Amino acid sequence: MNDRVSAWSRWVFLALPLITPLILITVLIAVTDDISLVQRASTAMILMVMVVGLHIFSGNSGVISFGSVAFAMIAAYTSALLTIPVEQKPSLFPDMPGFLSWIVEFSLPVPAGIVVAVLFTGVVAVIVGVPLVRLSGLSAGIATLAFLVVVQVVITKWKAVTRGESTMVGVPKEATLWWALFGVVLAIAVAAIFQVSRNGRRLIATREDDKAAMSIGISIPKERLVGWTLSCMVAATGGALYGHYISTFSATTFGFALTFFVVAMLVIGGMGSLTGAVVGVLVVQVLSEFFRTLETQGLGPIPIIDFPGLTEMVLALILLIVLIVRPSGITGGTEVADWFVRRKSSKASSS
Amino acid sequence: MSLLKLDQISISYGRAVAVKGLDIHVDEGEFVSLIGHNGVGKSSTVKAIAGVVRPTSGSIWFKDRDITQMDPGGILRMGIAVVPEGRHIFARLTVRENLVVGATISRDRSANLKNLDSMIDRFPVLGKYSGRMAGLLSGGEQQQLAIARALMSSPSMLLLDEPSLGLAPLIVQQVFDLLKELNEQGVSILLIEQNAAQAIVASDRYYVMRTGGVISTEARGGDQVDVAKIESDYLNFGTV
Amino acid sequence: MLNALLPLELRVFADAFLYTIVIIVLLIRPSGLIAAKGARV
Repeated sequence: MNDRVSAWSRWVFLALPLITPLILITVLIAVTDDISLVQRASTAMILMVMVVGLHIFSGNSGVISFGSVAFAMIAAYTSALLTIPVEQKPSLFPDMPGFLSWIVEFSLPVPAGIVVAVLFTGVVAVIVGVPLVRLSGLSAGIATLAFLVVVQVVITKWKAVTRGESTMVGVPKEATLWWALFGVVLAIAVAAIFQVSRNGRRLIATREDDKAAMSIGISIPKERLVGWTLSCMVAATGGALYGHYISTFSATTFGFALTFFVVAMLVIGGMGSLTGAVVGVLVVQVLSEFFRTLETQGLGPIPIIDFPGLTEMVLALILLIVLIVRPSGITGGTEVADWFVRRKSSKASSS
Repeated sequence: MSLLKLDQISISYGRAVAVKGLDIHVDEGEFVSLIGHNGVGKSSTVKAIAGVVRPTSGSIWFKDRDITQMDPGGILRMGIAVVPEGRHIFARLTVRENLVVGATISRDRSANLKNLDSMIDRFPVLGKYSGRMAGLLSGGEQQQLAIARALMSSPSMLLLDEPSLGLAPLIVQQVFDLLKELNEQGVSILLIEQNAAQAIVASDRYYVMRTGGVISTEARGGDQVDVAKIESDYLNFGTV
Repeated sequence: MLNALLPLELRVFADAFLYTIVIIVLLIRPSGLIAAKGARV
């Protein structure tokens, strides 16, 4: 490939092979107008926003984070608080503390609510990120998991603002299949732009070899913080979209189960590449829908397998197998775009 | 006037003394080698100059400034680029991207691009494989890439830690020839090596380091040196 | 124990404080509270 291609075409080259099939599939699904199919596709694509978000940090830095769902949760609650219709707010939040009382007095349109929620989550991500990006390996895993628990506890216990263990209701249900598609396209574009940007390359350099990265003056905490913040904001977009898609949710919606799904999707697909994040979601989602159907209604000649938790167990098993047989995931860190290049160059060399 | 001067440098890790009272200097435009066996404190010395490890005592001067307490970024900005031991290239970035991230400390994009072009001129093999993953290059090519990447920060001095490690003798010769060429173009070089003979021939001057980082020999290098004699001396130092 | 130290209004958030402490410990003592001897590089 000509290495003089502008940065612009490089990220398009990376994102287009992922975005195009997603758009096509979405259009096809929209045409069938099958409600359950539309639902599944929407959920899968919203999840994909979160997984792509996680990939931006973990994939490029090589540092695992279990905290991305915490940021999705913060954004979902923030956007809900901002967009619930003004007439419902007093009855839903009778004990809103004084310094937050302004929230009860107005309500934003959903898109504005999502944008503000994502920006707010970005600020939280910077504050949390400054200390956290200094950790790697096991410590990073434990610390981000601990952060998830902290957010969970605060949200379940801060009844006056979050309605505690009761569900958030009255959240405008405006997100549709098309919103989900828009979210995914945006997330993939952001991830692709970051990956080919200088900051992205520097972050990958710290993943590849931290010593060498330091020897050429790359500041590891600084590059990680940039990736972390962007990553959390994309995950936040997914969270806010999810909130407006399901419209009633509680802290348990964004708990360990969702975290497990998001991390499993990224690891199974391949942490090192954007393609891996997309493929991981598709594979895991198709498999889990398959087993969920088996669990609840059976499939054709196959009778109902009455075994609650079957889906989660099968997923855990697949995750284990992938970790053992192919630790770098299905894609092994390559992009669809690389595959095109390779085919082209092998053709060129054979002719 | 010395460009780089180590004044009575001692480095210890807890109770283990790695380097004791080391005095070396590199003048402007000089090519100096620091040779010695494994475990005599060569790598600790590199790390101290690069700012990765703090010396327990003594001071390091570069361009008449005390850089002993500077962080690695500051030292790089002062003009010392380090090629770390073991060819630390970024395997899953392309050759070109490796070079681009090498210019991290400079914000002048047009200067960086010019620099990139001059690297590709100087290292044709890097130009040829510029879009290829760096991990696919051969050992010698990776070493060239590591050196080119270090040069992307336009350093006045290059500090190399065992660039010959794991390379075939012929390739080592090529790497050393390259260093000589760079030196002639004005980059001062401090080469840390186990591979004594080839390093000595390439350099203007050399130090032989013994256990604890004590300098046992300082002599002029170059082609006219009796390498066989040095080698036997050098081997003897190791057995003392 | 943490419960006793916190003011009444914040007691419901005890777990959040506990896990914040976990994070702080990880940050300031990366090798654990009781570091193994000689583990420092």
